[in-house]
Amino acid sequence: METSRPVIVKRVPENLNLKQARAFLEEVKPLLEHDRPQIVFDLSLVRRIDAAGVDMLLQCMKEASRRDGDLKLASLSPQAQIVLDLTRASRLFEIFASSAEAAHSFSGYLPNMVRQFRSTPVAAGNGERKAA
Amino acid sequence: MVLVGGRQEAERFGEYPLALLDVLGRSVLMRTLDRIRAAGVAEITVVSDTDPLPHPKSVTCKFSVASPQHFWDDALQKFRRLSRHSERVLVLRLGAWAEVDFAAMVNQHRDSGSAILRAYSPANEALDVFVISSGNQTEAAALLRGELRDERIATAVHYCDGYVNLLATPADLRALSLDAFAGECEIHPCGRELRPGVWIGRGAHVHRCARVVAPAFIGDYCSVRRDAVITRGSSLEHHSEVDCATVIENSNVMPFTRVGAGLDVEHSIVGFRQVHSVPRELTVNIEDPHLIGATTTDISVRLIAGLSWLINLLPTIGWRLIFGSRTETNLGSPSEAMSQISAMPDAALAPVESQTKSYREMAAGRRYGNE
Repeated sequence: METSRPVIVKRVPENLNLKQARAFLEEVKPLLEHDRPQIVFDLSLVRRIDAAGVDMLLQCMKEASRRDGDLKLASLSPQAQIVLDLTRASRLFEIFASSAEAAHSFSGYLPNMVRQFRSTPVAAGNGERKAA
Repeated sequence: MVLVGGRQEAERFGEYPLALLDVLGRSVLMRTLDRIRAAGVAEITVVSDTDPLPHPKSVTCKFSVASPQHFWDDALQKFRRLSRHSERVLVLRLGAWAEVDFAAMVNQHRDSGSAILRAYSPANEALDVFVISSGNQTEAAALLRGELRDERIATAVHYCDGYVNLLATPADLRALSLDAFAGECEIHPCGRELRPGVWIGRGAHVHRCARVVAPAFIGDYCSVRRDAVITRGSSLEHHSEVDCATVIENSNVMPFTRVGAGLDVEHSIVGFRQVHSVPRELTVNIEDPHLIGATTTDISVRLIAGLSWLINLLPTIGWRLIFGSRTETNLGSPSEAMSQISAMPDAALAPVESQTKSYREMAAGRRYGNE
């Protein structure tokens, strides 16, 4: 029975063009290589996002799904929301109003006993937060 | 005298005043000029703070572009020049699309003898439509220097009972398009009505596999590519392109705009590398030309591009003419033939009658989407 897989909340940078998207992908690759990764991308800071940025998000989701994990999006800025709607990518992701809600949603399929012992997300440095 | 812009307020989309942008084939400015001419106004002068976009159906009038700093001074000079030759000057600022009866307004001004007559909407909103006596230079100067907003200047009132859209935000432009489709205002789509509710302009090309659902407008020289869908009161203005499999729903695509492939444009105004979302009341810059790009406004560049496309296409056409009809499937031995048939999809193996029926349905679907 699973009890303590971490949920990683990662803040996406302000600009998500080809160069930045590649850099961000390199940054999150180790997180995606975990067994069954549970990742939340916080897009509240995003001001500019292009097709390469959307492609990067899809690539991350694909990687997470390949390892039986999941990637969820949270706190979308209006700019990110418009571009995701435009590219039809918003239909592919689970989108939440806040990172906390997104992190909680990972416990949705666990048995009640396990869910009782799960705590709320705890803040960590470097733009990443882990919820045990 | 028609003034376009002059104020640094919302009334813009992508640096252009909304009045210079097309609504179903013609801009608000062009349509207003048509209405003024129809009212019998002899001389029309336009002062704009922005260069208009090139248009296939441009109108001839005295058009001058003034810098935003000198816009109102320039307008005042033009007013003085016009007032030398005439008793009264009709001054409009666009702004709003207001179906004011200009002839009735001029008659009221003449009969009432008031110095300045101003039009008001049915909802009692002040419109930037004035008739000013040529003799009242001081008040006219004060009015123009005050950007037509000085409320201390006494004006007589003319109530307009026609349609009014203030065109204050890009969302109002969308609303104007929908009202025009619904026949609630005097704006009619410029183009041939291909079937009820679908208008198409000169030189527009719609791929036979694209779908256009009424009401919709496709402007001059537009291109709608394979599997694209234009639906729910959408309008594509002249020289715009919609790439493969993109859905344009309840949206306006501005002139010289290229919408990339596989996109979903809903409740928006798209153009000049921007997307304005009507429900979110937000404009976002899109720097990626794969999403929202621009087609060239230069006619010579367009001609060269068209010629190079044709030259590239000629060898393909020649190849198809020579070899296309001779292509036959060689099934070989009976066992090979059976293996190939078993690999075919079910639809291909359907009885001939049902295939004919489905092709007939396809032809009916294509009839409206093929120009």
